[in-house]
Amino acid sequence: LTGAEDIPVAAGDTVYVGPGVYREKLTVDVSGAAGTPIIYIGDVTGCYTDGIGGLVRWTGSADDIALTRDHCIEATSKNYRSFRGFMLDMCSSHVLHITTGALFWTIQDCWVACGLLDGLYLTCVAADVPGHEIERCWFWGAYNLNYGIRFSGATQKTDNEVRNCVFMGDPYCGVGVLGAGGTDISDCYFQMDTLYSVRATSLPAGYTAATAKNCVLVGGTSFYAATLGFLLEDHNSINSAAGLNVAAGANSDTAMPLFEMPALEPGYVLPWRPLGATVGHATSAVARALFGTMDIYGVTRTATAAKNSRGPTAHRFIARDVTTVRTVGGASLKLPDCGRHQMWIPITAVSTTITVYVYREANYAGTNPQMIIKQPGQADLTITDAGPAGTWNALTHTWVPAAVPTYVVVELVSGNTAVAGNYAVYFDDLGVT
Amino acid sequence: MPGPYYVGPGGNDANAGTSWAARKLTLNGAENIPVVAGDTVYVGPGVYREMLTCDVAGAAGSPISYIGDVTGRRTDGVGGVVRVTGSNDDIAFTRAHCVECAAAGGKHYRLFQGFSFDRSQFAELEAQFGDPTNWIIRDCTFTAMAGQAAGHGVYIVSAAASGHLIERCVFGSAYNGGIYLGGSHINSGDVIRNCLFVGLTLSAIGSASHGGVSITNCTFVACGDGVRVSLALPVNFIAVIVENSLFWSCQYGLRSTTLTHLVENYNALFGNSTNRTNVAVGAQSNAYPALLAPPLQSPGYAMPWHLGDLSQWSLLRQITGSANAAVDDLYGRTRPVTAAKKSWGAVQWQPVSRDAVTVHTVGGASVKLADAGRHAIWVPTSGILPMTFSVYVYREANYAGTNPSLVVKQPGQADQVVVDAGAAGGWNPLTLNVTPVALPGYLVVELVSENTAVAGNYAAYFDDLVIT
Repeated sequence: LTGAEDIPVAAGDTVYVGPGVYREKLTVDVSGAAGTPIIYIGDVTGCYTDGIGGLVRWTGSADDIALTRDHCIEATSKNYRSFRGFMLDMCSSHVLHITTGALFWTIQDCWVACGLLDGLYLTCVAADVPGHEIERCWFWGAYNLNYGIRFSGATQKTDNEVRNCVFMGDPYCGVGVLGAGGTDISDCYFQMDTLYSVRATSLPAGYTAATAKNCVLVGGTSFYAATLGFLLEDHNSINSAAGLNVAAGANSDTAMPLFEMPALEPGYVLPWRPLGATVGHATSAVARALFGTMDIYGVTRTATAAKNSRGPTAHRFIARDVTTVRTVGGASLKLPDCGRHQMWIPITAVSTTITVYVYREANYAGTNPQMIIKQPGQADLTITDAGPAGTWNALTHTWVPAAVPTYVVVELVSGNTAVAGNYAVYFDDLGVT
Repeated sequence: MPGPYYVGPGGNDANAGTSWAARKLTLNGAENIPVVAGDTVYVGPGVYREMLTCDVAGAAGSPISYIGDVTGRRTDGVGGVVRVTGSNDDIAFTRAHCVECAAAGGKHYRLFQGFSFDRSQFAELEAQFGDPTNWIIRDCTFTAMAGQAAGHGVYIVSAAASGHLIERCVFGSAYNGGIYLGGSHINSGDVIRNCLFVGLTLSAIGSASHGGVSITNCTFVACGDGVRVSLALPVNFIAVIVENSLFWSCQYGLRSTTLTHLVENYNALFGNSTNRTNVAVGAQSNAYPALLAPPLQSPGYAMPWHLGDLSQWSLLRQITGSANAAVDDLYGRTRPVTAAKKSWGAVQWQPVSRDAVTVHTVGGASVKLADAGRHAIWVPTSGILPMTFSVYVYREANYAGTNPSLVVKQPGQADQVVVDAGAAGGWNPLTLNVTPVALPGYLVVELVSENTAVAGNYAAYFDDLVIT
């Protein structure tokens, strides 16, 4: 990584980092520019690098036991930098450390764990400028009395955004807003962040409040502000001990999330995505003020606000059905409401046809059901049901996939917006030739 | 009327319950038949909004078993989560428990497997009245417990040797504790193994004066306490033992009121606010980070991932544990025969990666098992049509132990196995002809390395899996 940085990279450059383990500290020497950031991408699919894919780990440890280096990434006043797709761990200080006034950093799709101090430490000193964006990241166990993410500075309005992140077991706080006004936090999940899930202090006069919306909090303590007004919360589900100096949001509730749990069967590993909401849980379909368009698993949220869940999307609305089937004696996939079901299908770079039949019930509304074929690095291929409701209609597409990665994701989509009547969607007889 | 009995949505408690077609509607409907020692009750996928009161005792060797049929093989043919909830609306805590023991007491030898419990006012599964003994709770999940003092997943109180077994369970996302063991007790004989505890505000496992508990191969992440002995054990106590377990990001890892009441060894504690309180450091314990494997995050793709897997870099994947290591893991996978290759914690490490160097077909990639482990692939079936599975395997020169194998598994059926009989250093075919049964509508193909060698080159590669 340092070798790439020292080329040197310039604004607009992209660095693809292949799967493997990188035991180094990257000192960021160069700034990107507005519209042309410098982007480091951990190529987990192998699409741009080794053709195989896997974890792209970046560690502060030399031996996977000791915390050898202080940071994985360190910067001073460097702007417009983006990091995506990395497993970051085991630093003796902050995993990412921006010591002075860097602007416009983007951290996406990263796993941040085992820092002795904070996970991400970002300073914000410039006044009234858009700030950092952190999304679809996991934060595990910031050690000792520290934060998953700490925004530091004395800034009235940063426009920092944190969304679709999971904070698990940070003994101090999930997100710290220490003098960084205008930081917005949405669609995050906080579990056992012992002291506070979000903590706001030291905002300068004339500040814009930090906000926390559409989040799910379980355990630990909820929200803290040094002064009433520093932190505004609403549309959250809070199952934590009471915080301090944060007024209860009018649309917040205490509905305990009912997360999808694995279906355990002796001797079999049944697929399971932790923290996905179940169909029935109370926060899986609540109207919300603002929300990320994609959840932590990369699943696009539904178009209807009232059908969006807080935290990770309740996209697992999937059931097998033996009543509405195209082939008698078989079973179909049922989407009782809007949602997406993804399937991995291995392919080679030869002409390929994928077909599936879809049936939507009479009261279905919104964009008709779709089959979307996705291959990392390629544009999505979308086929939308053009047939009538109440019948089985074919969705089909023929094309030549790219050679790598050697799979596509077929997404079966219900975009239903109706809230009354019969609006389920069924898919059956998927064929790949 | 002899069992087994069946319960499921669309049933009726006026039915006999002796077949899926004549199924009962409720768990209590089955209980009130009444069940007798040795009976099995298969519970179909669905949601059960009731509190099962256990009125009957099983007997040694013939427990009364309630099986949540998540594969659907014995019930609806479809499968899914079998949920028992204490809530009527998925918000409020409506009932006291999901399962309780009748006040009359003495309801011994009960078994619960495959259920997802949630949302009761107090403990979701309560075994308290009359000192019930010898309960088995396996492959169950407990979540959304109430924020009350007794709002645990499992709440056990006994005054006599209780002999309960809790294994392969997940306790998660709750504003309270996981397992509470109460009752002043010298030696309970209770065993807890292969359980995953995530995000429990209070104690994941709490013993209040409850001695003789063995806790092995559990993983504790982001809990108030991992294991806590909150009340001193009685005179002549047998200590609570904790081995082969992982503690990460808990407020307290291991915590006891009195030194020697909680004895630990072969554990890894890292990143906890306090690793131990009144607990001596086990000679073979360490402070290695768990280094759990993260999901492969890529925009727009939800890649399969199991919480609790160790990453390939975790040094806990290949160190010698205690003799008490469980033989399987949370996900039901058999641990390797070599002690030094058994992962600590609830989830056995699977050393699987793709490889583009050692391949059977040039230009492709193989599945590499860097060491002993198993790679499972789901394959849908079409009724009972015969299927042929063939794959090529290559083992390196220093591989030792039982040769690599191809295993085809179907829930409810005997495993079919073919073991590599060819030479090391070459690609050898493995072929199995299998006639599946109709349900469930899938098979699991397992590619297995049982390597025991610890030095040299001992990886196994699989390539060109063909299913016809």
